[in-house]
Amino acid sequence: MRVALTLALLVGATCIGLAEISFDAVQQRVAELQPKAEEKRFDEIGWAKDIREAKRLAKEHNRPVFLFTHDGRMNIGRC
Amino acid sequence: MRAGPLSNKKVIDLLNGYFVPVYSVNEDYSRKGGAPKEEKEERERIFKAGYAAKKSVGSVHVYIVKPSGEFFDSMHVAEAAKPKTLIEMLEHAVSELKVAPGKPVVKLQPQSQGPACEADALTLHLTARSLDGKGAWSEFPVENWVVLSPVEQKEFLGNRTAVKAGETWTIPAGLSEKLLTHFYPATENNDVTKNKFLDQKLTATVVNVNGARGRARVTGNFRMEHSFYHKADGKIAEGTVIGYVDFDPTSQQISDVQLITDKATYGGGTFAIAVRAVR
Repeated sequence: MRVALTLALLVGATCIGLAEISFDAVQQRVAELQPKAEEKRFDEIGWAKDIREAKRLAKEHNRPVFLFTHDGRMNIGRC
Repeated sequence: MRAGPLSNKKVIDLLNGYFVPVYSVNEDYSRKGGAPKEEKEERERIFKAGYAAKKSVGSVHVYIVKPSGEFFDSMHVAEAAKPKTLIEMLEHAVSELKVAPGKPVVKLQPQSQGPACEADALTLHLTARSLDGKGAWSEFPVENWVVLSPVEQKEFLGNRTAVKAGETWTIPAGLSEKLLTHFYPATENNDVTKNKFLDQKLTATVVNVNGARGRARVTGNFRMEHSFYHKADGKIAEGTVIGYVDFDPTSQQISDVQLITDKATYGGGTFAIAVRAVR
């Protein structure tokens, strides 16, 4: 709901007269467009930096490795 | 996966509490990819072990490897993307391997971080956000990092040793393209070398200069072919750009950047871009 409201405001913001838009207004809109915490829950997972480190930690902590292989760059969402 | 199970509280709790999670980017592990040889060999070993166990194996999969390093289970991402299915897989592993619960073994940290760069380089963070929610890739915004070297900052500022309010210049095409090539929403294709600019221009106009601080307004537009999938589809990202750049006129270095798009469109949908400097 909150995301939907934010997006609605952002869509509305496109009606701003850009020829007159101030630095503060641009800065505010930049801030509004930033990823929200609820859109980056992926960051709430403790990811190992690579497979070999995961393997080492798995042995050390007696835990299994969860490996996800994918195309693109999941860390920036471009995947 | 990221917008689905990897944003699911139960999945996050299971991964943090019982597993050592890791993800690997296929490009890095390809023959020409930048991952170390030993990394590639380890991933290949897991793939082969899964194949030998007659389990599903491929480049877009999840794998579970025992603490001993032995293969345990795998699943294609099409199945793993269903939170319920992935939870069942994880819980099965926890039960079978008798894993004790605990805290994450790796410290949580933002996965999107600016690249290491030389001193005095300017790091720009770009956010692309769908505004109308069209398409399966529009659930969350996507990001890019762009670094401008000290020399590129001078070029961006028109290579001028003295500036006055009202002065205007066009930012060199190579430099504006370096930034604008990321001006598209979330798509399956992210190979920007395939992008083709049909039109693009960024212009800077000095708004004021006050001693060691100057501010220029940046305006412009872009029209760029960017295919949604890797096969060319003629889709076009286009829009107008406006914002500001703060700079030191003496050193010709940029201290702040704030840029946004207006009325940007792609494939029948609308999106917005925000660019900010990160020091």
